[in-house]
Amino acid sequence: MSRRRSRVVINGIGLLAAFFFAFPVYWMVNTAFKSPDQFQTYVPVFIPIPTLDNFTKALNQPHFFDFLRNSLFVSISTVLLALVVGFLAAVTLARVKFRGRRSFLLLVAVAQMAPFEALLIPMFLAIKDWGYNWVPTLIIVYFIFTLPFTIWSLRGFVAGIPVDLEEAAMVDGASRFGAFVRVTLPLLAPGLVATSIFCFITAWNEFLYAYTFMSETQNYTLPVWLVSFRTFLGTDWGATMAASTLFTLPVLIFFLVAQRRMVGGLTTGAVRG
Amino acid sequence: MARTPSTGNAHLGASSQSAAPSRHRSSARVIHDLMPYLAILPTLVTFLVLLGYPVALLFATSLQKFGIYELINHVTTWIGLQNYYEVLFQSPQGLPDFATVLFRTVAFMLVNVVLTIVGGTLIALLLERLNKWVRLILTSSMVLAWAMPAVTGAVLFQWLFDSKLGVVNWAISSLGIFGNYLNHDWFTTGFTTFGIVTLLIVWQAIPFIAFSLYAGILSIPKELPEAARVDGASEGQIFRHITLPALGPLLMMLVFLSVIWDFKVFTQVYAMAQGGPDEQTITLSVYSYIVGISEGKFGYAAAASVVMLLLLLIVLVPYIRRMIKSLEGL
Amino acid sequence: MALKKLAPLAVAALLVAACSSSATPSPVAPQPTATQPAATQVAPATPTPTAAPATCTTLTVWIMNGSLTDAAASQLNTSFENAHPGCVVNYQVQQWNGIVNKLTTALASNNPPDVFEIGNTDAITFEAADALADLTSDRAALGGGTSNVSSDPGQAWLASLNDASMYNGKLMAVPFYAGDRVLVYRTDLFKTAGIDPTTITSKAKLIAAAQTLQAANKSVQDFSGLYLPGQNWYALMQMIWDEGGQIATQTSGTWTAALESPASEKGIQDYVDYYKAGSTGPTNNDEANPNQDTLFQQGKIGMMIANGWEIGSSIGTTGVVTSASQVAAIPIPSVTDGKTVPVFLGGSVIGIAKNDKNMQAALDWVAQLSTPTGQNLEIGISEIPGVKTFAANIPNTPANATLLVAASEAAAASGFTPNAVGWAAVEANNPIKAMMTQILTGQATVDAAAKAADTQIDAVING
Repeated sequence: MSRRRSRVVINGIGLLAAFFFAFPVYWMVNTAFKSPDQFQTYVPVFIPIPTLDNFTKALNQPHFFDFLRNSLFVSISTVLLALVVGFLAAVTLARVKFRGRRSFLLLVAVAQMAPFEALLIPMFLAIKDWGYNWVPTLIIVYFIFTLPFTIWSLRGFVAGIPVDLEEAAMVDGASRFGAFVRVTLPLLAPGLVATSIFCFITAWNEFLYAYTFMSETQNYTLPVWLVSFRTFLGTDWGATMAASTLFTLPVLIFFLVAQRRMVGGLTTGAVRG
Repeated sequence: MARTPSTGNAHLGASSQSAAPSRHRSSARVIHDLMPYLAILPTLVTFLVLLGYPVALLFATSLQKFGIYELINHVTTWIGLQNYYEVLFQSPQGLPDFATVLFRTVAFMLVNVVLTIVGGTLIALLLERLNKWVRLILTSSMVLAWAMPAVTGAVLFQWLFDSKLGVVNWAISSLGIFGNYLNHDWFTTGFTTFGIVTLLIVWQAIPFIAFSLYAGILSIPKELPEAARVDGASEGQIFRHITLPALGPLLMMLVFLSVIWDFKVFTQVYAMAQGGPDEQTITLSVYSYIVGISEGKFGYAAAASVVMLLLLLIVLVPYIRRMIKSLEGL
Repeated sequence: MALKKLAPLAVAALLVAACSSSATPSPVAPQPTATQPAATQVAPATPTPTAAPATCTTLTVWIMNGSLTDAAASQLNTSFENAHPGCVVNYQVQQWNGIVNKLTTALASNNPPDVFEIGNTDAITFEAADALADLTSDRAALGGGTSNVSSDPGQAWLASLNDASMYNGKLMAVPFYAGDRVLVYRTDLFKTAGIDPTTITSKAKLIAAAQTLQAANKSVQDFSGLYLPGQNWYALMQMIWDEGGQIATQTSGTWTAALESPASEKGIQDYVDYYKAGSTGPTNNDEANPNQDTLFQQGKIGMMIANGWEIGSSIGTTGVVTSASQVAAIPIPSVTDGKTVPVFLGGSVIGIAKNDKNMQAALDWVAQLSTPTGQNLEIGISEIPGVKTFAANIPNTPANATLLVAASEAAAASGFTPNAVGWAAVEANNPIKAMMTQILTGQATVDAAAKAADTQIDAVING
C-alpha cells in the first residue's frame, strides 16, 4: 500500500520535472502559432487561436532547402566521422594496455579544453587557402570539437561492459573480434546513441563557424536561417519561434528513433547478461 | 599544451623501439603490437595537426598586434607579451579588472557545476524509478530542452522573465503567495541576471548529465542492489555503497566536462544580457569577446583565451591525473 | 605572483609561436599606429593587379538582409548584366548577426566579395583597417558630385552619409540609403481627443498632447500617450543635439565623451520629462523589447518615436490598428517652438574591396545606386535615397507620407554617432543605455549617471 503511494509520489515528481523541462519549449511552440497581437499580451495566452502564418513565412525564406540539405549533410557526416574515429580510440583505450596510454588520455582531456569561440580566427587562418566557402570544412571543424567528448563517452561505455562476457564467448569458440561484435557491440548501442545525439546537436546548432566560414547563401546551414528573421526593421519573433520549433524537430525525431534502439539494446543486453 | 604532444610522441617512439627486438617473431605479432597505435592514429592526427595547428596559431597571434587591419592586409607585427600584460594588469576600457572577472567566472562556474551535477544525479535516480510512460515523457522533455539552440534558449528565457509580458511574473503574481510581481524586473541586478542565466544553463545541461548517469546506473548489474535490499539496506545506503561507487569514474568525468563547459560558457551569458547590467555579468569568455572579437583585437582576444586555457590546465591537470587513475582502476 | 607562475608556460608559448611563424607567410608592412591609421600608408608587399584590367566573369555583391527587395535587386542586377555581357552578378543576401567578423574574414580570404554593404556605424572599422578601395577619383562617376566637403553645394549626397563614407579626406565608400526617426501617431485617437497634429511644434506642446491622449484613453490598460522605452538611445541622442549637446567631442584627434556637459544633461532631462509624461515603456529595455510596433498595433500607444520604415509593421491584419489611414507622422519637435530636432541618420554605405580584381565592373554596379533609377527603387521601398536632390523631391503620394516627413527631417539637420575608431566598441557594450535606466529608476541623478557613462566611453572611444 505505502509502496504504491510512494510510486505515485515518484511519478508525480517525474511529471513535475518533465513540466520544468518542457514548459519553455511549449512556450516556444505556443508562440510560433500566435499572431503578433496574441503574443504580446499582459495575460498570457496559453492556447492560441492557431495561425500558420509564422510557419509559412519561415518556410518561404529563400534557400531553405539548401540550408536543410547542408545541415543534414554536415551533422550526419560529423556524427559518423566522430563515431568511427572515436570508437577506434575508445575501444583501444578501454580494452588494450599499450605504452603511452595515460599520455594519450591526457591529450584527449586537454583537447577537450580547446576554446571554441576563440579559435575562430586561427581556424580561419588555417583553412582559408583551401576550405573557405566549402561545406565539408564545417564537418572537419565540428569533428575536431566533438571528438574528445566522443572518446570520453564511448570509452566509458566500453569499459562499463565486463570483459568476462567477451571472454565467455571466446571460450565458446568465437574469435576475439567475433566476440566483440556479437557480445559487446549490442550492449554498446545505448552508448553509441547517447554519444551520437551529443555530436548531432553540437553540429546541428552551430552558428558562428557556419556563418563565418561560408560566404554564399547556398552553403549556409539552418542556424543562419534562424537569425534571418532579424533585420534593420527589428526581429520577427513569430517567425523566429516557428523556425526554432521546426529546427528542433529533427533532433527530436532522431532521438525518438534512437530511443527505440536504445531500449532495444538494453533489453538485448539484459537477456544476454 | 606544448608539452603534451611531445610526451605523446616520446611514448610512441619508445614503443617502436620495443617492437624492434621482436623482429624475429612472426609479422602477425608485430601487427598485433602496432594495432593500438594504428587505432589511435586518426585521433592523434586530429589533435596534433588539425587542432594543434590552429592552437599554435592562437599562441602566435596572442604575441602579435593582430586586428582587422593585420588580418586583411596580411601584416605580422610581433609585440611580445604586451597583450598578456594588458589582459592581466591593464584591464582596459572601463571594464572590471581581470581578478574580478576571474573570481566571478569561477564562482559562476562552481554554482552551475554543483547544480547541474546534483540535479542530473537526482533526475537519473528518478528515471530509474519511474514507470514506462512517465519516463518517456520526462526523457522526451529533456531532449527538447537539450536540443534547443542556445541563442533561442536565451531569447525564450528573456521572454519568460520579461517584466511586462513575461509569463513568469504573471504566474508568480497569480499564485499570490509572493505578492505582486507584475512589472518586476529581473535584469536590473547582476545577481538576478546571473540567476536566470544559471537557470537556463542548468535547464539545458541537466539532460545530458542525467542521461549519462542513467545509462551508467543501468549498467550496474541489477543483482547487487536487489541483494542489498533483501538484506534490509535502505535506499540511501544502496546509493552510497553501491550506486555511487559504481558511478564514481563516470561522475568524475562528468564533473570534469561540466567544469570545462561552464568555465567557457559564452553564448547564453552574452545573449541574455551582453554583460550587463553595469558589466556585472561579464565572465571571462564574455570579456575576451567584448574586448577582443567585437572590437576586432584578435591578438588581445587570443591572449585572453590563452590565459583562460592555462588557468584551466593548471587547475585541472591534477584532477585529470586522478581521474585517469580512477579510470585505469576500472 | 600570478605572473611568476605563468612565466615557464609563457616561454613554452613563445617557442611554439617562433616555430609557427616561419610557416605563416607574412609580408611585412609598416605597422600603423592607432592614432595614425592605415589608410594613409601603402602596404608595399601587396601586388597591384590594377595594371591589366581583367575581364569580369563574376561580380560578387553582398547586400544586407532587408536592404533591397528581391525585385529591386534583380532589376539592378539585370540592367548591370545587360550592360556587361559575359559578367554575371553573384548576388548574396547576408545577415546582420555577426557581419563584422564575417566581412573581415571574407576580405582576408582568397575570394573576397567585390561589392558589399556596410552599416554606417561599422564603416569606419573597415575604412581604418585599410580594407576598402580608395574611390576618391571616382566620386563624380559614382554620383557624388564635385566636392568632398559635406556642406558644399557641389557635394551630392546626404551630409551624414557622405561623412560616413569619408576617411582621412578620402572617399572610401558610397552612400546607399538612409532612414531616420519620426513621430508616428494615431489619427483616429487624435481626432477623438481633439488634437491637431500641426500644433505639436515644441517639447511643451508634445507633452501636453501626450497627457491629453492619456486622459482620453484611460480605459485602455497600460496606454501611453507618448510611448518611450527607457533605452531608446537614438531618440536620446537627438534630444541632446537639440539642446546643443554632443555625445563626444573631438579635439586634435582625440575624442572626449561629453554627456556631462550642461547642454547634454539638459537633453537627457528632456528625455526624462517625456518618459515621465506617462510612458509605460520598460526602464531597462529599448524599443525592440517589447516591440513597440506590436504595442502600437494593439492600440496601447498614441504616439511613438519610430523609424520611418516601421510604419508597415505597425499595421496588422488583426488587433486595433489595421488600416493605413489610422497612422500618420510628423517631425519630432524641438524644445524651441517651431523647430524640429536634429535627427540621427541610420543607414548603409557600399564598399568595394581593396585591390579588387573586377574594379571597373564593381564601380559600374555601385554607380547604378545614385542614378535616378536606383534612387527611385529606394523610394519605392521606403528608404531615404542617398542623393540630396532625390531625398528632397520624394513624390507626394499617400504611400510616401511618412517617408516624406523623415526625408524632410534628414535634409533639415542631421547628426551622427561620433566618427571615432572606438565607437563600435562603445555601442557593443552601450553605457548610455545603462545610464538611462539608472536615471529613470532613480538609482542615480542625471549628473552622476552622465559622469559615470562618460568615464566608460572615454576608456574605449579612441580605440
